[in-house]
Amino acid sequence: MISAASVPSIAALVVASLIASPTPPPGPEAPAPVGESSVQPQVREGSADDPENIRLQLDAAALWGIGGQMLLGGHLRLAALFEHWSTSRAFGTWDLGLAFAYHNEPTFLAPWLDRSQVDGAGHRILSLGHLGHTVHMGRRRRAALGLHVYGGWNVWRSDYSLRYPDEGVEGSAVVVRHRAIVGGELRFTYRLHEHLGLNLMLGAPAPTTSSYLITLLHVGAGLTFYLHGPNP
Amino acid sequence: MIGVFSSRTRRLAGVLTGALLLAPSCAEAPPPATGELVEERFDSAIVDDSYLLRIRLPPDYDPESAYPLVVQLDPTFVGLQQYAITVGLISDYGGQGLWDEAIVVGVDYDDPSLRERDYLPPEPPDPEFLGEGADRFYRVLAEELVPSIEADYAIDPERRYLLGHSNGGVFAWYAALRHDPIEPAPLFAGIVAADNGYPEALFTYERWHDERAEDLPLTIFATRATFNGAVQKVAFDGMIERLRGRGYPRLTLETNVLETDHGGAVWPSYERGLELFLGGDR
Repeated sequence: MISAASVPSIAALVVASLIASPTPPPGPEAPAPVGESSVQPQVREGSADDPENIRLQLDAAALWGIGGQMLLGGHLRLAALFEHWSTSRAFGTWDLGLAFAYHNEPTFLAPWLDRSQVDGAGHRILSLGHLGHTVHMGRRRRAALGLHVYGGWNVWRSDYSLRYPDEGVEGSAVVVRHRAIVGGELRFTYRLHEHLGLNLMLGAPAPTTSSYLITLLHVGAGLTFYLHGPNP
Repeated sequence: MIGVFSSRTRRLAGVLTGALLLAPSCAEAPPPATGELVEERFDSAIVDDSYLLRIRLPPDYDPESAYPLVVQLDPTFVGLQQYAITVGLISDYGGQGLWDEAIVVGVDYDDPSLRERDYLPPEPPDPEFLGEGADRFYRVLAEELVPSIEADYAIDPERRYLLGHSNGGVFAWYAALRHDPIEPAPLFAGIVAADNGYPEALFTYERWHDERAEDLPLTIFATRATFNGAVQKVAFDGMIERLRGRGYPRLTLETNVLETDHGGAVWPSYERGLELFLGGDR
C-alpha cells in the first residue's frame, strides 16, 4: 500500500494552501466547522494510514473527441484515492488508477466521406495508468476536482472499405499503428449518493506523435461508482 | 453525398477540421527564401474574381533566361506554409547548385475557403470540361494566369509544374488527367499531388483520358500519408494501379507512402517532387 504521507508534492501543498482556512485542519474526529454542526460530511475524512479510509471508485464515461476526425467512445477508470491532507473546507487525495478507453471514428461524423461509398471506422484502444491529485470540496465534500497525468499504450486501427462501382474500384484495407501515449486530464466529480456520482472530464495527450493516432483532445461525461471508502 | 449535410456544411466542417488538425503539423520553419518576393493582384474574367499572386523570382533573375515555373496551390491555407516551404526548398537547394532555380507563383485567395470553389471537380464530371469548380479553374490557369505570368516573366513553357496538397492535390490530379492529346504538350509537365483524396470523379477523368489518348506525357509524383488511414490507402492504390496498368509510354509515375499525417505530408512530398522536376532526376 502506498503511504500517502510519503508522497510529498509542491503542487499539492499549493492547492492545499489555496483552499485551506487559517484554522488548523480537523482530524477525523474533529467537530464540524462553525455553521455545519447539524450537517455531517457526505464523505468523511479519514486517516491515510487506515486501509478502511482508502477510497476506491470506478469512473465510467462516454467520450467525444478529435482524432483523425471526430470520435465517440467510452472510458473506464478504476482508481484508488489516498487521502493526504485535509482542512476544514476540503481534503486532498493522491489517486492511482488504471483506465481503459475505446474510441470510434464513425463515417457519420466525417461529412467529407460519402457513406454510400465508404464503410468502416477508425478505432482506438487505450490502456492507461493514471496518477494525480484530487481536491474534495464543498460543505459535504461532494465535489471533487482532480488533475491527473496518464500514460500507457495506444492502438490505432483504421478499417475501411471503399467502392466506386461505376469505375470498377472496390477494395478494403486495415492500417494499424501502436504508440506509447502520455497526457493530462482534468476530472470533476459530484457525489449524488453514497455510491453514485457524476463525472466530467477533459483530457489531451502530449503531442508526441500525430493526433490522428493518439487524438488531439477528448471530453467525457458519465457516472462514478464509489466502491469502497469511509462511509458518510 | 451524405444527405443530411449540405455542401456548405461539409465545406465548413472540412475547413475547421483541417485547421484544427493541420495546425500542429507546422512547427518546423521552412528554409529562408532567397531572391525577390513580390505580391500581385490578378483579376480573372473567367471566374469573375481576383487572386493574390505570391511570386518568387530567383536571385540574379535574368529576364533573358527561361526558368521553370512552379505553381503552388494553397500557398498559405490553414498555416501549412506551402508557398514558404516550396520557396524555401528551392532557395536552399538552388543556392547550393543542386536544383535549377525556378520562379514560384502561389495562387492565393483573400478568403482561403474559396479553394473549394476552384479545386474540386464538378459533380457530376462534365465530359466537355465546361463545368464549374476544377473545370473553370483549369481554364483560369490555362487561358489567363499562365499566359499572363509568361508574358511578364522569363518562363520555360516546357517546364511548368503544379504542386498541390489535399484538395490542391485533387486539382493537381485533375490538371494531369485533363491533358488534351490534341495539344502538343500538357499545361504542366509535372505535378505533385500530396496526400489528396481520390473522389470517384478522378477515376472518371482517368478513364476519359484513357478513352481519348494513348499517352500521358508528364511526370506525376503522388504521395499518401499512412496516418490518413485505410480509405486513403484503398483509393490511392486503386488510382496508381490503374494508371500503371495503362502503360502510357511517356508517363513518369513515382509514388511515396509517408509515415506521417495529412499536414506532415506537405514538406516531404514537395521536396521529393521538386527534386524530380528541378534536381538531377529530371
